[in-house]
Amino acid sequence: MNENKKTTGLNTPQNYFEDFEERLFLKISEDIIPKESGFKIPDNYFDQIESTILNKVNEEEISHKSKVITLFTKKTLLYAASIAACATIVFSLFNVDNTIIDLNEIQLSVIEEFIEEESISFDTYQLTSMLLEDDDLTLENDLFSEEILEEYLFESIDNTSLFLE
Amino acid sequence: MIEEKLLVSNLQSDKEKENAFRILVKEYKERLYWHIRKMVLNHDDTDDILQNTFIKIFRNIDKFKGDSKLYTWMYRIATNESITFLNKKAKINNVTIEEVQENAIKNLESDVYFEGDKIQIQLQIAIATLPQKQKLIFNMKYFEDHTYEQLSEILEISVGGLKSSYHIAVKKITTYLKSNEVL
Repeated sequence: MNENKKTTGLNTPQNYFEDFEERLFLKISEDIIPKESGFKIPDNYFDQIESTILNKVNEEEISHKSKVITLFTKKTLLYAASIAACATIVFSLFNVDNTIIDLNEIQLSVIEEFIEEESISFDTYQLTSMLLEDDDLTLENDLFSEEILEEYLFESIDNTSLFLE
Repeated sequence: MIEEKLLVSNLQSDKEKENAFRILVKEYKERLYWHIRKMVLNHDDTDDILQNTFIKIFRNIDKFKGDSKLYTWMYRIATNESITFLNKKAKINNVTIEEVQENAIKNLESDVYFEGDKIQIQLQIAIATLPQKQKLIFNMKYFEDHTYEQLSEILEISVGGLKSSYHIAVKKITTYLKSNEVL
């Protein structure tokens, strides 16, 4: 090439020649694809569709404006429920009952009933371990008088088996 | 045509909204119709989707912030409406979206609004073999003459990606048409 050749100042887009073949072959390929899709539309369709759309939009606008606003929307109910929940939490936090229930205040019959109904039950092993672990636990000695105990023993213990032992 | 910025501001003003919307429908009804029709093939379905598209545009015009061009935004709505329609139809009939499109092609021969011959039917079959995105790109580039830059904005795909997808789509279609001896 002649280095002294005068330039015209004309230029091409970047990568024009690199992409040229690709674009050319794409055009050739495209030529065999039909240009017409074959789809048709009803006569005057585009004249009518305009008014159809505008009518629909107007109908929507009217129904939107005359829509009844319900007092208790889902959102309002949600707010009310949240406020109620907060109030309950605050109330329960600041209104803690400071009275400690004393075991002595509970009637014996209630405890008996509770055990009889098997709402609470301990087997022998559990009772033994509790007695051994808890030093503070003392057996009530004067719960029953000696007479009552004697009477109970005479009535309930099988004498024969006791003598045999 | 009225300048886009002015049209958008009129569409967003209570006083001018109706007139501006009339202008918008007049300007875009045909372009959007053909865009939808290429996707769903049937005229009645297209008519429904076109109306829904414009109603959606009217309802949501206040949310249009002007980040993209107005027609780009409208094309996106039309595309989404068409895809939603096809998905719904597939779900109702308990078939795949591809089967919905196969059925639509089968119905073309008896469609009063289709005047294509054998090659046009074959072309639709060939287009139906493309993946959804390639199908969209091919229809919009080949039939609707969008530039790659416009397509890039509408479909949010890079120009490079679009070019290669379109190239692949053309190759697949010509190969199909040649192998089915309609050329």
